[in-house]
Amino acid sequence: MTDAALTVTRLRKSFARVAVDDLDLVIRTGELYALLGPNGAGKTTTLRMVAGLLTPDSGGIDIFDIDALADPIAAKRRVAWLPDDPLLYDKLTPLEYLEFIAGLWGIDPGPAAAKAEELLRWLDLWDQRDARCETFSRGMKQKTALAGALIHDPALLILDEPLTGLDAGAARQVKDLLVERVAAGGTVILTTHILEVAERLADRIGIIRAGRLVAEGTLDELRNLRGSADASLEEMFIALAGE
Amino acid sequence: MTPFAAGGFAWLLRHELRLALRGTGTRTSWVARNVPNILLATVPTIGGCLLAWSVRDIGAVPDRLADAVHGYLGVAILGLLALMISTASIAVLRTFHERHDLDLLLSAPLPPARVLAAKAVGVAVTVAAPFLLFTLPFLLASAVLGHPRWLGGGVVVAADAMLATAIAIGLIGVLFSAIGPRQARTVAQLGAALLGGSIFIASQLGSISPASAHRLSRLLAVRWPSPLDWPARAALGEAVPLLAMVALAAVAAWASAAFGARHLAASSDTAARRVRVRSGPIRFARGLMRVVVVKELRLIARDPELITQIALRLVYMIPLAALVLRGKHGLDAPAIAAATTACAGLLASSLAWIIVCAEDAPDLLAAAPVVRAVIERAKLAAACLVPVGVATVAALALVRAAPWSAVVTLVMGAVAALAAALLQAWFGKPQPRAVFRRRQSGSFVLGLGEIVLAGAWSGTAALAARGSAWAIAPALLGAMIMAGAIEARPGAKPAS
Repeated sequence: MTDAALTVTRLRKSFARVAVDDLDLVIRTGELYALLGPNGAGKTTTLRMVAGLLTPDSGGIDIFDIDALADPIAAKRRVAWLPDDPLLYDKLTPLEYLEFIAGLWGIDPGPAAAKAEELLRWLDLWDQRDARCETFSRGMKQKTALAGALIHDPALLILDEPLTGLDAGAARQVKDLLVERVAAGGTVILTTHILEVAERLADRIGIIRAGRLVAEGTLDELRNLRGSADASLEEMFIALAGE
Repeated sequence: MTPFAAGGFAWLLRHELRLALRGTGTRTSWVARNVPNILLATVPTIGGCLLAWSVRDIGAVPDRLADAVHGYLGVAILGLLALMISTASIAVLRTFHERHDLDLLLSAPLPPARVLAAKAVGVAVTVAAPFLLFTLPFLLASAVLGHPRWLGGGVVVAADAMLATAIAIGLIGVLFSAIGPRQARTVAQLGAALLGGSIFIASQLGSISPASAHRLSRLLAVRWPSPLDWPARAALGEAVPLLAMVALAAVAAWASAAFGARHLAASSDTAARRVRVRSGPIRFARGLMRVVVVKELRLIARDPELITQIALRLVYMIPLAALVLRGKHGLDAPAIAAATTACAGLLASSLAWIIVCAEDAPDLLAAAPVVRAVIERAKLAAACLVPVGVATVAALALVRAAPWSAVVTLVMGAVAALAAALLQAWFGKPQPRAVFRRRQSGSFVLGLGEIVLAGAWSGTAALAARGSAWAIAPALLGAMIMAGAIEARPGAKPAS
């Protein structure tokens, strides 16, 4: 038994070119980890493999000591995946969507209904609970998808650009939620192009380039790595990621 | 500003027509893009010229036949108007509500009436175009061959289209105000499907029921009140009725742009903001199979366009089925068993494509902690539920008069539904729902296999219901196709 929520070992995936190149990564339980990198660096491919949506060419993925490649069902029970393009059904209402997600994750209908109400109220979607998602703004869709990701109370929350399309208030809500989940012992991995978010929220930051981890650590550790005590994350990111 | 300058009426109309045309297809290859257009241009032209040549010697309508001719032509023009209203209703919904460009257009420094008039005339042109495509070659050739007055037919088609558009704008405006845009869309789609199907079945009345067709023709020979003959007389080139039709169309165009379109634009904006909220405690369903089936049925039930397309396919099958399956004494129980089996198979194929291939969120299902096969089984069950329901209703209708045929209907309906759904699940390619109408274009073999399979199962049903041992032959053919499909199916498929 380790304290690692996620262990990625020599993970490799190629499409027309190598997207993820023998990547090693360890995310500890109870930390908020920001995976940064330029477009096409392999962030989303890595997270899609962790979520069980892509099969790696080689390497291993352990989620809370469960071999995700050997027992994907058990691993997926502990994980929620929230991409930047919300996984929604336009013709379902938020309540119907959450009912479906609860069914997929095998949550008892009673507690799931109560949790759904709590989440929709918290995300200011309660008055829209019977409106179809096709009528929603992008931010509302993102919040509905977030409610879907949280309804089964995942131990590992994976978010790909979670603040895309959210207004300032909703973005603040999401950031507060991530901090709360981590404070309660949950683990969060997120990718973002908003470096200020990573700088303020993340316990550790990983910078990936061409499918390889080129730097990792707390903000201070990254500064030490650069030998500049007052460098901003943006400056370090541009230097390390070659942007 | 000239009408053709940027922001002018013609410029706006061209914009509307370009958008309407671009919504009709996404094919990319030259052959796929151009061959249908070439066929659409040449076949009606050749057909129209041949028809005009064959009727070139027809003289003026004799007085004794005038009432009957005007009656038939009047009914045809009335049917055309009804069909155009149904087409125009859908086009009005798309143009004024679903395209979401009114805010952009009305925020431009242009007179709103011009913008709305261009939209209304754009709808009328798209409604008239297919009918003119098929009638104009005949009318032009006839004009050259000695019947210039028949060109009035083209004017009547155009006037009908403008009138239909005005009526559709009024209808949709009332529906928007009364029941909101979503329900208005459902009503318009289903109304259009029913109307189109009814007109098609009525046009085939001679094949389905010759006696009824004969009674109708005698009814039409009776003198109609004079004003109702005017559209027919206009089509035959009489000056006063023709001018009256043109005037009517002009008034309709003006009224729809001045009042109807403005009201529709306003109600489209306010109705879209209305949300109905239920009260009472929330109750979630239990069990994966149940939530998947419920979700799939909800998604289909909320897509009137899909329902319309599926319903139309079945409606257009009725005259064909009646012709092929009619026995000596009309439609008997074995024929109904066979028709129901074929319907169940085709319906299951359509639903399975929507449910399995056109899954909206395949990544969500792939990320869920469930075995893929369980979701696939739930999706197949959802696809078969409605077709088996149809077979059950048919079996219940037959059970007193022909109990054996009822059993055959139920069993073969279920077999045909499951087989068709399995074929889609194994060989269907993931595609968005929007391409439903063109879904078979990418898989000729699958489409052919479905038709042969539907034929095999319905043949089995017809012969089994008659008690013939030959039923085993088509059943074996169906079983062989399924065995081949099991062998050829891809080994690994995504959860969706």
